[in-house]
Parts: sequence; C-alpha cells; structure tokens
Amino acid sequence: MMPVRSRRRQIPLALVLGLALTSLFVVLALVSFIWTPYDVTKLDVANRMQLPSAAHWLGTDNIGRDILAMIMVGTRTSIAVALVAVGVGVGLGLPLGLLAASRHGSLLDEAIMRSNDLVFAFPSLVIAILITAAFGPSAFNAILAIGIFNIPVFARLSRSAALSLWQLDYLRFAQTAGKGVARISLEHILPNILNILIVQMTIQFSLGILAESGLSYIGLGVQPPTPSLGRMLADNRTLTALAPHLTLIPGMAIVLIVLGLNLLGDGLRDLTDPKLARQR
Amino acid sequence: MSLLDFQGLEVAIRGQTILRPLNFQIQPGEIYGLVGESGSGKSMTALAAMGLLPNGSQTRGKIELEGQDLLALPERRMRNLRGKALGMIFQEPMTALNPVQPVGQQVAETLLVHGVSSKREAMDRAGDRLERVGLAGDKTGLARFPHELSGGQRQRVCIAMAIALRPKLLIADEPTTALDVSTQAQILELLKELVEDEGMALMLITHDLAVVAQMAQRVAVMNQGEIVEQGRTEDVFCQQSHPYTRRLFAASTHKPARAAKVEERPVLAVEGLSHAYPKTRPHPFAPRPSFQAVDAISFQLRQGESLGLVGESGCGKSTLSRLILGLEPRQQGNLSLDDQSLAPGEALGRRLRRSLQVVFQDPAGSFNPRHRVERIVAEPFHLLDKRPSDWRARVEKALLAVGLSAEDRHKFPHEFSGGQRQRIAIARALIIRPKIIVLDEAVSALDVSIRATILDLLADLQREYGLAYLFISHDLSVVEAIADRVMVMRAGQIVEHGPTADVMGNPQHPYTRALLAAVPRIPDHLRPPAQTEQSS
Repeated sequence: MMPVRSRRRQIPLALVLGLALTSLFVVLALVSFIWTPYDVTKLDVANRMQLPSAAHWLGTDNIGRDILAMIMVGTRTSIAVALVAVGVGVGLGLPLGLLAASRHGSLLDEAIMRSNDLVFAFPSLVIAILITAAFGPSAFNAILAIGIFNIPVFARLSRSAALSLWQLDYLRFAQTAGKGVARISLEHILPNILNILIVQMTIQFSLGILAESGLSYIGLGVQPPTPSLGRMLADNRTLTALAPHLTLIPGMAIVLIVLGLNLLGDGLRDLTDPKLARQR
Repeated sequence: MSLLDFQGLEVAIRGQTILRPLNFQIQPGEIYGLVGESGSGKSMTALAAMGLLPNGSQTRGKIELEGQDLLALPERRMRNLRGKALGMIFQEPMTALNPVQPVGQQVAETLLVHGVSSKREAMDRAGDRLERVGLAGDKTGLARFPHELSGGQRQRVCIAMAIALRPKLLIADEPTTALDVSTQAQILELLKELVEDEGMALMLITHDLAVVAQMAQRVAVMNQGEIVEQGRTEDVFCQQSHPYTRRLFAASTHKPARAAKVEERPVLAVEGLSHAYPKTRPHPFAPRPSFQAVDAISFQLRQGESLGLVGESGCGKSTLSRLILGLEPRQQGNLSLDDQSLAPGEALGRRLRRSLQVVFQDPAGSFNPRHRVERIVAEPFHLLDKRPSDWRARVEKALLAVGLSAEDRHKFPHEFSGGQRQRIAIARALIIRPKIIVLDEAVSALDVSIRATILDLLADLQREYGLAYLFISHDLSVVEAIADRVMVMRAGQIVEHGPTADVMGNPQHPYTRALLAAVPRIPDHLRPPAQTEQSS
C-alpha cells in the first residue's frame, strides 16, 4: 500500500529545461554508438571547411571530417570521462566522509579531512598536468585526475550531512538497538543524504565535462583520433576568423551540456530541499 | 479606549481557516494572557498584530492600536510601528539573535532604524537598556556575542531589543518555554517589573497555565483558532465555564493512576559512575583541562519502579543517560544490568541491551523519515539473534498496546501527530519486552492534554509488563506525577534522593528548595474548590 501524498509537487522550470538539454546530449551520445552520419576518422579533404548543408548538417572541419559526427562522439567521450570521474569521487569520497562522520573528532576523522584539504589545495587542472606529465596523456589519466579532484568534494559533503544526522535521536536509538556504525550509515544515513548527493553529482558531472574539455584543449586528455569537444576547439582555433562555425559549434555544445547539467542540479535541489518543500 | 483591540479578526491561509472571529481588548499597562495548546492559533494572533503573517494569508476584521487599524496600514507605516509601538520576543532566543554581531550593536540597530541620529547615542542608550534588563551595559557588555551568553541572558537581550524604544505593547510568544525553571522565574519577574515601571502592556502567549496564573490580570483560552473563554484570571480559573477550559486544567494537573508493584530486586544498579569531557587547552603546552559532567553517581532502579531524575540543562543528566544506554564508553564506575556487572569500558552486549530501551524527547527526530512504522518499530529485533518469524504480528500487537491501530504500520512517521509519534516510540521500546525503559524528556515536547494521555499509557504499560522507568526530565511537575522516587541532579552530582513525596514536600537540600520555589504553580485561590480535591 502506498502512502497518500496530499502535497502536490510543483516541478521547477529549471528542472524541465535542464532535463531536456541533458537528455538531448545523452541521446546524441548514445546514438553515436550505433550510427553517426559519417565515419569520424574518414578524411574528405575535397570537402573541407564546408558550412552547414544538407549533406553535412553542421559542416566539415579543416580536414573534411563531419562536425555533427565529431560532436556526437566527442559528447560520448566527455560524458564517459565525467561519469567515471564522478563515480570515482563518490565511490571513494562517500565512504571516507561517512567514516569520518561516524568517528567525529577522532584522529581518523582529522586524518581523512586534512588529507582531503591537501588534495583540495591543488586546482584540478594542476593535478591533471601533474599526472599526465608523470604518466603521459591519455583518457585514463584524465579520468584519474578529474576523479581525484572529486573525492574531497564528496567526502566533505557526505561528512557534513552525516554529522548533522548523527545528532538525531533515531541514530542513537539504532545504536541502542545494537547496530554498528557501518550498518547505521548504510541503513539510516545514506538514504537521507542521497538527495543532496545526487544534486552534487550532477554539478560535479558538469564540472567533469568542463575539465575533460579543458584537458583535451591543452592536449592532455583524450588522444587523436578519438574526437573530443575540447580538442575540436583547439584544432580549429587558428581558423576562427576564416570559418567561425568550426569553433562555435563545439563551443556551444560544451556550453549547452554544462548549462543543462547545472540547471538539472539546481532544479533537483529545489525539488528535494525539505525547506522549500515545506513552503509549498 | 483600549490599547489593542481585536475586532472580529479572521485569518485564513490558502483557504484554510486559522483564526475564527476573535474579539478581545488589551488595556494599557495590563498583562494579558493568551493560553492554548499548539495549533490553537495563539502565535498567529500575535503575528497578525505585528503584521508578520505568512505570505498568502487573508485577513478579515480589524486590529486597532489606539484606534488605528493595523491591518489597513501599508507595510512602510507598519514597519515604523514595529519596534516603536509594538515589541515582540520569541521562544528561542538563540535563533532570534544574529550570531555574528555583538549584542550591543543589535540593540543599537533597533534604535538607529527608528531615527536615533548618531551611532554613539544609540550605543549609549543600548547600554542603558541592557542594564535595565539586568545585563552589563558597559563596553565589554555591549561587545559580547550571543554565543557567550546563557539562554536566559540571550532572552534578556531580546527583551532589551524589544523594549529599546519603550513600546506601548510587548508581545511575548512563549518567552520562557526554552528556559530552565529558575531562569524562567527570573525572566517572568523581569517582565512583570518592566510592565510596572515602563507602563507598557504585555501580551503573554504561553501553553503553561501556571505561568499565566502568576502573571496575567486577564486571560483568554484559545482552542482551534477560537477564544473559548476570556475574562479576569480569577474568574476564568475559578469558574472554568467552558468544557475545553476544564479539560485543559484537568490535563495540566493530571496524575496517572498508578498501582506499581515494586519488587526489591534491582534491575539496574550504578555505582560511582563518573564521566569527564576534555576541554580545549588554554595554550598548546598546557595540560588538557576537563569538565566533570557526571561525578560519582550511584543509584539503583528496582523492577516495576519509576525513578525520576530532575535537573536543569547542563547538569549532566543527558550524559548520564548516554552512559547508561552505552552510547558513551564508561570511564569510571560499574554498571550492573539484570544482575550482570560491567566494569568501566566494558560494552553492553546485545543480550544485555535487550533489557534496556529508550524513548527520546523529540517526536520528530526520533524516526528515520524514510522508513515505515513497521520497520521503525521492528528495529530492536536486531538485538535478537534472528528476527522472530511472527515479527509482523508482534509489531501489530505493540502498536495496539500503545493505542494505535494495526493499519498504522504501513504509514510514514510524518503522517502522525506529536503525541502519536511518541506512542510509536514507546511501541518501539516495548517490542522486545525490555525490563527498563529510559524516558529521556519523553513528554517534554507534548501539549498538556497529550502529555496526560501518554503518562496514563506509561502507567498502564508499567503495571502490565512490570517495567522499570528511569524518567529523566527538567519538569518537576511531570516527575512528581509519575515517579516513586526522585533524584535531583546538579553539576554532575545527585544532591538529593528520596521518595517523591518526601523530596517534593520536604526538600532538604537548598538547591532542591530553590528549584521547587521556581516552579510556577497555580495558586490555591485560583483553583475551583472541586478541583483542589480531585488533584490531591
């Protein structure tokens, strides 16, 4: 039997817009697995730098590759990199944060949080350059760099959210019911902080896409011939005056994905924020 | 002409009626009491007078301040009146103050907003006002931050802010509910003095009949957005012509019928229990100072007995309950539970925990909001080796035992009222048939009528299952109603210990005496003759 929910929930506009934009790009990325208008590695120098037309919907680049196809595959690359990076961040950061919260004030808590500060002290791009300088540029290293940057974000968030929950009586009761810290964290804390985690995940996801584009732009991300939105910008930046659509289109793609994810995050926060929900 | 005149005030929020037509007048210089349980609309009445009703509320009728209709005033004019003619203080003095601003500045700000020209003059007058409410008004006093003050001192700052411009009417919304009894007595005394000296009127909103009895000249009793009875305090208290008033009075002095079968065998014994918390070092090389929260406490709790533990906030009673419940490792002292003695540091095993359960104060924070009642109540089964196969039936039985229906197990906690939630908490504590239930401020957050039914329920369950209760509360009247023996705790120590009637009737320790003297009571001349007999 489901509970009766009398409260009518208004869906925020940001959520609708964000969801629409995000799903557009996710669909593009998914379709690229089975179909792209042209092969992204196929060069067609005769038809280089074409403006959008019926044959090439978004035109061709300086060596005749189809831009739509490259955007589709590039989006797929970006999403994949960002997704795995967020996964790394949540997968390591969340348990660390929950552990630190459950041992609040202990040496372990200090150790975890101070090492998080250490990672946080370096901008993600610097960490990425460090890693790629040491291990060479590759998609894997880009994921690693962005993922490491995500760990302290999720560790801090989950720790602070869990800390306020640990003050509540139902967690004390669970302790008197003989439940251990790990079990309480999973059973009582995780479901109650999941909403803010999801919001943060969408925001970190958009930051991840931005970071991947940035790394590819300076040549430290995905390597050719795999297309990447950032590298499309870099490759064509000298041609901006000649054929502006070559940089405009990938640039717009990045902006729209990031915008969509940010709107989605905002909308989700509005939807799940208990303070706002109570006002409704 | 009266000072504040409510003429058929009606308030509705999104079509839902909050206040039915209200008619009452407050005279200049009088203390007017507004009594009622939560949800009766007493706070809404105050907010309506301040022009602070939530967005989307519709009003009808008039609120006249010296002949001027407040509801018809534009926000700009209303803002000018707030603070100047009408002052207000709230229940929670911590959230009513800005934590990052010195208190002097906060009082001065009120003055500056209302036209005191120079900052210096405002600060001077803020100092005056702080001194008036019994705080230091010199430079250091003005520079203190809210977190450096105690709860009572913070409430004094709020009062200083509210009376900074000598308003004609001060509205106090449950001004002492969050405070200890002795602090409450001081704040009430201060309010009384201010009314006399400054010639302002006070609208005192409270759920506590005894507070009104001591303070107000006239009183209105509210229920479900309606004034059911109003008049001079003596008349309302002695005649109680409306049935709701009678119910409210009966509930507030309610004592559950108890026929406890106390056995000699102690189920819980504590010996020399001590606990100290480390404080921050004054400088990096100093030895770490510590705060003795619980200091060599010993007592026994016998089967079927109710033991009350009374004390003001900060006396260490929460730490004591945490130590007994095993939520905090014991540093010193033995605990023996069910004839099994545990040395310091030794944790309660699952087997021992089975005989010890707890009910907490806050009915809202007691449950995981995402779990259904069934899962919540069944949580203690974790203490058994295996969840019994008939666990659903047992959850049902426990719910029935506390007066809920079996169908309730499919609901979520937010679908219940405060009193019902406390019943769920009791069902959860009962489910594995413990010998002892620690009731940590278990009825403190409840309205008097609900409190009365919960106390009855606890008494019934005690009789039926032979439970022993450790009843921890700051409220002496509740402890008096349910406990066989009382311990009075202060600064980590038990200062007095004995049968309830002895401790309450003939207190030996000066602290107990002071505490009892501070408890507001309805004076005998304000009781109807019949009721005096009933309650004794």
